[in-house]
Amino acid sequence: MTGVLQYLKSNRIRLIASLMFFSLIMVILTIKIAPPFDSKFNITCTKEYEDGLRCDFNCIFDTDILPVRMVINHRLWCSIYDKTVYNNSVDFSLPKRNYTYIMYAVANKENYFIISNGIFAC
Amino acid sequence: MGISKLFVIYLIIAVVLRLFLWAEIRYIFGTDVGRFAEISHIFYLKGQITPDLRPYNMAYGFFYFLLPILIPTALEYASIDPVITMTALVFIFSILSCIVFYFIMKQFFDERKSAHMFFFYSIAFDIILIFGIAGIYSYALSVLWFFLSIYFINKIFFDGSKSWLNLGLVLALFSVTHIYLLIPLLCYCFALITYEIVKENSIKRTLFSIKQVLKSLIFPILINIPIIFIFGNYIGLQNDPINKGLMLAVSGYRESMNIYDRLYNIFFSSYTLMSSIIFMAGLLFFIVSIYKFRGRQFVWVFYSIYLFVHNIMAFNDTNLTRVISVVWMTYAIGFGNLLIIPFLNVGLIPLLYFVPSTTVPYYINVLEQKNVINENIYPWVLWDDFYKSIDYIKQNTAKDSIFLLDSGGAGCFGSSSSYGDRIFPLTSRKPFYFTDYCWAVWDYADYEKRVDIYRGISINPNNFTILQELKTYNVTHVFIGPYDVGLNYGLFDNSSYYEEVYNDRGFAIFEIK
Repeated sequence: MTGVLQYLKSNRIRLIASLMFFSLIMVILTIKIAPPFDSKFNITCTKEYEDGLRCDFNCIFDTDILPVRMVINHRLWCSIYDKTVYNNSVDFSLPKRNYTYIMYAVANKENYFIISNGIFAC
Repeated sequence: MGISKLFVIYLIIAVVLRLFLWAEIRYIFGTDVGRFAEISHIFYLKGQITPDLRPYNMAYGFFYFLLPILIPTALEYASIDPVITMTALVFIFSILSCIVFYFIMKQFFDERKSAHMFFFYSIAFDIILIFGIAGIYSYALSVLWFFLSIYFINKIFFDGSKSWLNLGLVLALFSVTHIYLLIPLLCYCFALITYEIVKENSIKRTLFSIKQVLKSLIFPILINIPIIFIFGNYIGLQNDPINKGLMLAVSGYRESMNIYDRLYNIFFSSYTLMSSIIFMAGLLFFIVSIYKFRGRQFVWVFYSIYLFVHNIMAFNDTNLTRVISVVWMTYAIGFGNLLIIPFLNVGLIPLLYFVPSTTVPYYINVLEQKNVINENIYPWVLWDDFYKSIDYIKQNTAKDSIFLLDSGGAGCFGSSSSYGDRIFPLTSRKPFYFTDYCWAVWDYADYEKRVDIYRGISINPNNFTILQELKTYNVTHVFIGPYDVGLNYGLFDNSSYYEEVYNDRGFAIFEIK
């Protein structure tokens, strides 16, 4: 352990100052490249109709930042419905497959992103 | 620069395991491979490097790092399809990066320990292999340039070498492959500078080293000038709110994680959805082995600290979270520092075969068992059957056939559940709609219209009105694979508007009457 202790003891002020300085640069740089998003909103979906072929949904986005870009996936990366919605409420139908679908919704105002994920079955 | 017998033995083991794995996998098809194969094939068909991918794709402009696209394009002139090229590149770059890792370790540790570290890196933490076989292709390739950059930067800092020319050439290749790893490279440079400052090295020498590194930047700048000339209008598309927002939609759930989950993800999870006890042991071994560190070996401690700061700050960014992978270098250092009996190390291979992890032996196990870890990322078991359907398409459909594929989409979300979009690079038959890469621009009104047609057909293939709309786009065939999402095989099979012309092991092709 002596090697480590010696190393930490010698020039510890330089060490701490360097670590703090470069860590701070990494913090600033990372925030600049990948700003954290600000908030989430709720999606409320109601199934309004269902038969052997399809399910009809009405979803309400609890946000006043519009438009909202919505994407519906079944499995990761496989979008089956992709639409920009210009008001808080949207009606849509999906094929009846006994799947759990995921809706991703994103809205932005300049660099202010709001997002939400909703899960529903058909 | 001598190499030991031990290293040669470990190298042979690493190569043999990779060849075995390659023989089992045969083709890597996942995620980015499909996207880039498509662009690569368009360049080949159009005979030019262009951001306008029409008429083969809806995108009239895109930007992406060019080298991973251009190599497959070039090899298509030798009749090698882009999917095979990309698979081969992953394995070749994988073993090369392991070798470079060994030479980096030799800049810090003695010969035997470096060999042990190489062994553990190549078996358990090979970033290129782990990301590459998941189809995260261009990011994977950039790891080789990342390692070479570290090697030459070390030479500049430690040996006072004027390796700026070598470094410059590597950085040039880096800049046209994938650039996210420039961030950990910066962490590494900061770690080196921290080490030099603490060591009380002469400021003059440190400044000289920094100057050498800065001088090398001329090469990446020069190589990018023609690219800016061709793709200038589309550079920065990744910062477009839609693209940024869509990526956030995927990774947004991470924001709600508590600090323990975050730390777990940063240290013990791979971006490819695997976490394992091997990562935990790696971190533990690295921390324990610090007590043995001397002199310049502390660079790896500083590097870990800066990387950790970055990783915890970039936690919500889908792409930057991949950077967690380069912390695995320190895990290999930890293992190699403490496990130093060669025959016991080699004896771990059969054990790793059974431990769910990202190790090469476990991947081989998964393939042999025909298991699917995650069917979206590792659908290996499909490929022989898929290639049969590709052969059918080549031999039995007209060259101008257009295929409606199961699922699809735009931006980062779009891809076909059964990889039907690979039909295009392998057969030149066009898909009805696909713009399945993140950084592109297209006619969104036309795109939404196509989405609605797709959705209508997926709900009811017998809807005559929508079918007529589909026909106005000259769509001739429907392709449905075993992982159907929107297109239900049964509905098409029962419809009189479609004739089944191919059906084998879950892959079906219908001709539209």
